[in-house]
Amino acid sequence: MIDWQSYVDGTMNSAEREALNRQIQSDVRLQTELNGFKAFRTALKEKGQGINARTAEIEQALVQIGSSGARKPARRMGLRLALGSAMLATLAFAFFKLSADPINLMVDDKVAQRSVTSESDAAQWLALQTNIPVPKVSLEEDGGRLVKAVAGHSWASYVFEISGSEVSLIMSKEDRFDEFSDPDQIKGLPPIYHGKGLGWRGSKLSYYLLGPSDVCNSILRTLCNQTYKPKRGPGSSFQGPARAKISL
Amino acid sequence: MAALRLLRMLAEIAHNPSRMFMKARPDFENSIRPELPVLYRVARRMVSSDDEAADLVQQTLLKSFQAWGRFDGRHLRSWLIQILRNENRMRLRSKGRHETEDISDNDIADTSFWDEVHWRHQANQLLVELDKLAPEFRIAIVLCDIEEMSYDEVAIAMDIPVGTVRSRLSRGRALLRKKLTEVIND
Repeated sequence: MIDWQSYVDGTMNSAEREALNRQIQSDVRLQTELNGFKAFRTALKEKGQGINARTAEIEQALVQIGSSGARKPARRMGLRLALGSAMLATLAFAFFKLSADPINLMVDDKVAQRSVTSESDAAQWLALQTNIPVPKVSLEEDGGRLVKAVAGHSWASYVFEISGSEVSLIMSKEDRFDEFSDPDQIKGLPPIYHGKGLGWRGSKLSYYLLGPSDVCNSILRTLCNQTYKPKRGPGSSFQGPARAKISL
Repeated sequence: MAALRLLRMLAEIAHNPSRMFMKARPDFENSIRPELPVLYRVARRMVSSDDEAADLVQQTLLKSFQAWGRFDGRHLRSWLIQILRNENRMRLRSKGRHETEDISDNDIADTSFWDEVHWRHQANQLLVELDKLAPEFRIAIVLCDIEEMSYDEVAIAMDIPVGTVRSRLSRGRALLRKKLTEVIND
């Protein structure tokens, strides 16, 4: 039986096609057969496509579905917003984790601040404001100048100006130094915690030094000497400059 | 507003990450409208009445709207016909009936030739006999011969290989011819 389908739709290979063409030209019966096949397809197409498609009714349904569908995405939008919020929260959390200071003191809002000219004046004012027995701290030997005292509810801070930069020494009774950071053990110094600044525990308070890292490193030993009393024992004497890294 | 826009964008991406790489999806209504007559005609060959065909198309529209977000943008007609066929199967199942797929070769013991005169005279009988064919033959003929879809498109719509489309077409046409010849001879 001849595959008229391949012949008509052009998928018959060229050799077969040429052979069939020659046959068709010489055989009237084949011509009738081919015409019959084409007539069958034409008749089928005409009859099949000729039915009343009721498109008006279906189009109306399409419009209704399209317009009512506006509510469907709206319902789904709740889920999408929830997923979006979850993703945003995750991103925010990740950003917070990456950008947050891994160590910090228990510091709440600033309550008051004052320009100061002497260490004793600053210590007195801060003790009065915060009830924290802050030590007198001087950076004179490093070329630093005390410019400001800042008080919160549970913390106090000295602000120094040194080599054109400002550094803050924040003091509090509580800290979170151990949560995300292992301290550096530097001979003669208390364990030094690293965050955006440098933290250590003194005899009564915890201290956090914030400012340019090179400046903080250069004054760390001076500050520790005034805020930390090392336990006496072998190898406890202060030797050499401290150079702790600050990871930012 | 910018935060809300960002939130919406993230929600969209969370819902369907591939959207990040896709162009804007065309409007559902305008894309589907040109396909309605085809859908109806194909549906009409699947069911026994105009009303049922209209219902089937409407159900197909609803399903396709719900699935519009997952449509990859290629072969819209084939995609719609896939849904139409699935909906018809569900409809039959709910009525406790199944689409019979009697496609054995035994029925095609036809050696008659195509005769142009038959089709001209028996054109009205064509659709009647077409509707009596097994669904898989019938749909292949409807999509290929009536709707003039390519073999590739029909293969996607029927979820079968192109070779199977060709064989079903050939056998379906032979069956149809045989039945019509019998009608003429009666």
